[in-house]
Amino acid sequence: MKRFLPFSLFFVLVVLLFGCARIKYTTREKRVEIFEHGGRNVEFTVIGRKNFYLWGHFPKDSTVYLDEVVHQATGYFDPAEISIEDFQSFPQFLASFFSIGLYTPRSYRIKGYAIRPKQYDQ
Amino acid sequence: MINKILVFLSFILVSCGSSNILLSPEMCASTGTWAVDYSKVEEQQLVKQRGLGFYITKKVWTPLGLFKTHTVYLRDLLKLGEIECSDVYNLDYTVYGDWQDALRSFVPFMGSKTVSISGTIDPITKTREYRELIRDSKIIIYEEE
Repeated sequence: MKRFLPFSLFFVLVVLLFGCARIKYTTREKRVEIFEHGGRNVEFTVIGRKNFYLWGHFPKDSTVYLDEVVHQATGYFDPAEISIEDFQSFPQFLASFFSIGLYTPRSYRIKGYAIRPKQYDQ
Repeated sequence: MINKILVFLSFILVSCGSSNILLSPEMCASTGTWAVDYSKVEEQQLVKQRGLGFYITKKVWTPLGLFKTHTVYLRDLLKLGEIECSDVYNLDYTVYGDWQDALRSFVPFMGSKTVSISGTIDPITKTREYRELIRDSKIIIYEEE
């Protein structure tokens, strides 16, 4: 019992203090349609990363602005029918594992359709 | 003792961190948009008055999360809140883990995450339904200007 008590207390403490990373996906300014109704002429994929520290406690909330991320990465605009994959790659997993969670990177992959500006065709 | 702590923390980290969740808008025909954008004051009032806001969460098991993608369909998430895709006006999406996910992750080879969507229902759709309801019941309502 004496050996079990510290371990169970530690278990409760860890579970209570444990905070996995929180990533919110939204837009800042421009409208991003949920469903594609025609007019978008190019398919895109954007991969990004968010870094978290101390078991995901810092920063507690992290936001991905879909309109900004897509435009900055591809130059395309008016994205639609976006699918979001939230994942941890194997190297990121290893980084988390060997730092015991002090550094916890996560990635996101955004796929969808957008409008390619005409100057890109020239 | 330190070894036990390291193993324990690593185990939680392995379990909870290794998840791979894909949110798919497949088969979710909607004229709605991303983001909770209450740009117009009238819209804000409408959302408050008629209870058009929604918040749906779901716990997702991710077996072998590091190697396998688990797909969550937007349509299915909305159905949990009895909302059709066509009713959505705008929404945003959050992925996170809480203490319940940490507990659930103690199941070997299983990860757990919580996904949530929040947003508003299309006021126009709701107004149309409201009007049809009034028309069918033949009740006349005088709206204040």
